[in-house]
Amino acid sequence: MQMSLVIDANKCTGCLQCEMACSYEGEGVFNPTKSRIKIFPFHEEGIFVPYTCTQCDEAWCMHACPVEAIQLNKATGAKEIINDLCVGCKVCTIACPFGTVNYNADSGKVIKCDLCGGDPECAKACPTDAITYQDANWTGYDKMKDYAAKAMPAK
Amino acid sequence: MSWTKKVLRINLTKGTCTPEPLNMEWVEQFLGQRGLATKYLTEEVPPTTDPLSPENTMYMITGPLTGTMASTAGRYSVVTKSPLTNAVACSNSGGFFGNEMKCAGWDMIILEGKSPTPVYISINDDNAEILPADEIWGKSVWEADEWLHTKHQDPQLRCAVIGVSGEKGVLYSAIINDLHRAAGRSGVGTVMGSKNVKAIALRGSKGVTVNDPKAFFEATNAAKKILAENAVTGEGLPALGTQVLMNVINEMGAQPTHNYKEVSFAGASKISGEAMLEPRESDGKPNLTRNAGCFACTISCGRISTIDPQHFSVQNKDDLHHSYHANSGGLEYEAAWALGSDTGIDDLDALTYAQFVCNEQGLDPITLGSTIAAAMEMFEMGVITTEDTGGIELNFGNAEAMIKCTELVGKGEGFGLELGQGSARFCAKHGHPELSMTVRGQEFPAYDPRSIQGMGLGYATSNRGACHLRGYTVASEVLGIPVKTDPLETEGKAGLQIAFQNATAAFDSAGICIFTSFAWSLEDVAPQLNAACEGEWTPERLGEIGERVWNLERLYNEAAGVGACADKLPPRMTSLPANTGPAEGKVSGLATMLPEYYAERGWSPEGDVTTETKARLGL
Amino acid sequence: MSKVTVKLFASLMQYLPINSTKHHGFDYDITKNPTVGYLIDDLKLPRNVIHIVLLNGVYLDAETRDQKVLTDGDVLGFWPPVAGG
Repeated sequence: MQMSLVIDANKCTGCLQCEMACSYEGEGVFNPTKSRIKIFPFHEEGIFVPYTCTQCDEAWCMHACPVEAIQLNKATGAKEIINDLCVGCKVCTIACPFGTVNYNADSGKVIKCDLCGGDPECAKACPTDAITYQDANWTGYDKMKDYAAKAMPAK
Repeated sequence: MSWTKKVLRINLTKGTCTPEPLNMEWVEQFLGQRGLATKYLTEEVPPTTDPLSPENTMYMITGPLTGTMASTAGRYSVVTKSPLTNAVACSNSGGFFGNEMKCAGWDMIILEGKSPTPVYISINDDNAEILPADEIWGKSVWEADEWLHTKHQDPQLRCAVIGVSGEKGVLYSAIINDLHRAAGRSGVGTVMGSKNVKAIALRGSKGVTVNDPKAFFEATNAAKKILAENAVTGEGLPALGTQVLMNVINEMGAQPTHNYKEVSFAGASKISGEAMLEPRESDGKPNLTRNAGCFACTISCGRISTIDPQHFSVQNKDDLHHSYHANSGGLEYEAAWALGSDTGIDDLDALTYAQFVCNEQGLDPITLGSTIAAAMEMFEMGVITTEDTGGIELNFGNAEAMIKCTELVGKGEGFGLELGQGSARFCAKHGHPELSMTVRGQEFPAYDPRSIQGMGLGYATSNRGACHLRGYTVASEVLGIPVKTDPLETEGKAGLQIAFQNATAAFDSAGICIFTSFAWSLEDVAPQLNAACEGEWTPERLGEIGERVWNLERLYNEAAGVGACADKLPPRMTSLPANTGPAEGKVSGLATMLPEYYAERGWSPEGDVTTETKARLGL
Repeated sequence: MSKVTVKLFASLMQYLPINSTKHHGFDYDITKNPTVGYLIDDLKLPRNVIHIVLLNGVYLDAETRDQKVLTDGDVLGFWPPVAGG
């Protein structure tokens, strides 16, 4: 079964546990600036929004890469950076409409979410289930269930 | 690892930023954060130093867990000599500033001397600069924060800023980071202002590593599970925040009211955490929008609130003050009691507005509210009049007067500057020092010492002046954590306070939030430190460090002239009995508890740290 | 007939009867069995959630509270485990 990251901004408290888990998995260091997932606080609205790669099927980044350094992991559906091939040209960062592929100046390569090979650390680190890893065909399941519960006739 | 082992020393007189190694010998004895910075203070700043002179030094310091994935590990502390108390000051803050400091590669930033002109400090990893702050001097915290983000074109910049109150010499100014998290007590913002430093703007990209990652994840995951499964940290605090206490403390008759004349407040439920959840008439929204977490916090007790748009405090605010019509850091229990029940005000929106102003201008709401309450009592006695207050009718229960005073103190203007000296100085000036509810010149927090006896002993012996965050025996005496004790009983409270004081000093030195201690003991902290840090950190060693830190603070205060001679409560606590509730007829039993406390501390009967105790603790 | 005032706070608010005045609690008529234990069961309050019980502001020990006898005009407050500061 293919799985997807499912994000529920209403549950996010902005604690950045996910950013640390991500940077540790990717870079071996607790460092939010090296995270593939970012939390955006909107102070005046009082909401925190986690945002990362959605793993597009027809991924702009993958098609734009001139050296085929972004490849599909068939098991997870993730579009992964092949570091040995990446030349750091950054065309993928321009091609991605969502800004979720970024250049890492320290390594000279780009970084993006690779779903941690099918066991995403961000979802495991999230204390409030704002980030979960679910059946890719049923990412709307929880939301449907919530609305179904509201529509349920009163006892 | 876990410590960066680097300190950034900024000499504002000379205009220099110099890296130096962290003193790792002192780390062995004092761990980090509160303990370690206090060691630096005691070695570098003579106890008799004038706190507002260039000779005072300010230490912003992280703990060994700060910046890691351990729950709540985003804390930093500000240690200096307090202008409010003349004692050691140590104020702890969350938000996202401490972890950013660590990520930039610094365990500690030291500010010494005094800049000839207003400046701010810009730090980007190894690069530190002292830059002119003329454009933000005289601006609020929120305005300065916005200006810094624009100036540096960096939305991820983390800023710690003082408000106008800190520039004008209000003695209880806070340092505010991330718009509404505060290093709140004892006037640490005033010290920063006295050095002509408006802000510290940080950006770090180096990250933090730990000594034994496998053990670290095991220990921190186990500890997070404890927090999640504990009803207080997993349920109560996220849902209702610190304000969950308002009704408990009021119902048990320990709610300080009308400048501590009474122990319960009729309007308490209207300004409680429960009330913050109720939809209001004007727009159907509750006061509370949601809870929020500081860095790495899996508890997330922070309040994000709005003020009723129809409320008199904000209905005429213009676009320049749009923040008052939006979400911001909401009401905490300590602000709610001090600005609310202590002043007799049961208007939730007025209190939320006052809390916003405290964040915007960098004020400690406890000292502010208590000082206004003392002034209200004197106004009702006729000791001060509208001539003193600049026309403000300062009666108990007058929300508009409280708001006016808060705004004036925030800007350090007129009568506000006088209130800005704190209640001890204000009451003494007007001939009634007994009306100031302070120890060492710092105002009481939210628990009446006649109704919760252990807290009276805690206030009297607290090294930074009256405080609940030095030994929170409320946990045991009221809430039954870890075991229930009788709040009206004095027996055994000396030992209980000492245990809480020592453990708290250890938590405060580690880089984590004291709220974890509702679920964790040092047994849970030790494995996390042990995996993150070099060396061996056992619960016993942490307990000893806590005791060492406490005694070091005490020795500094003794030498500063605010040691045993200041271990006392205002006469109202020891001679005016509580008038209602379970404590009716009771006064504080401090006189009974204090000698036991000294003895159990291993101090002399006069309350001085003995040579033997110093030797035992390696001081 | 004897009446006591019952107040439910924090997460226990969900057990308040409809139309109660929330934090000011609601009146409860003591009928045949005037003990705290009977009241808890009669109101179907969750024993595993109740942590702090204050009778007129005085804490009732968990071991003995069920036997505590209520009298007319008593105020009884219930909380789950809570803390703050």
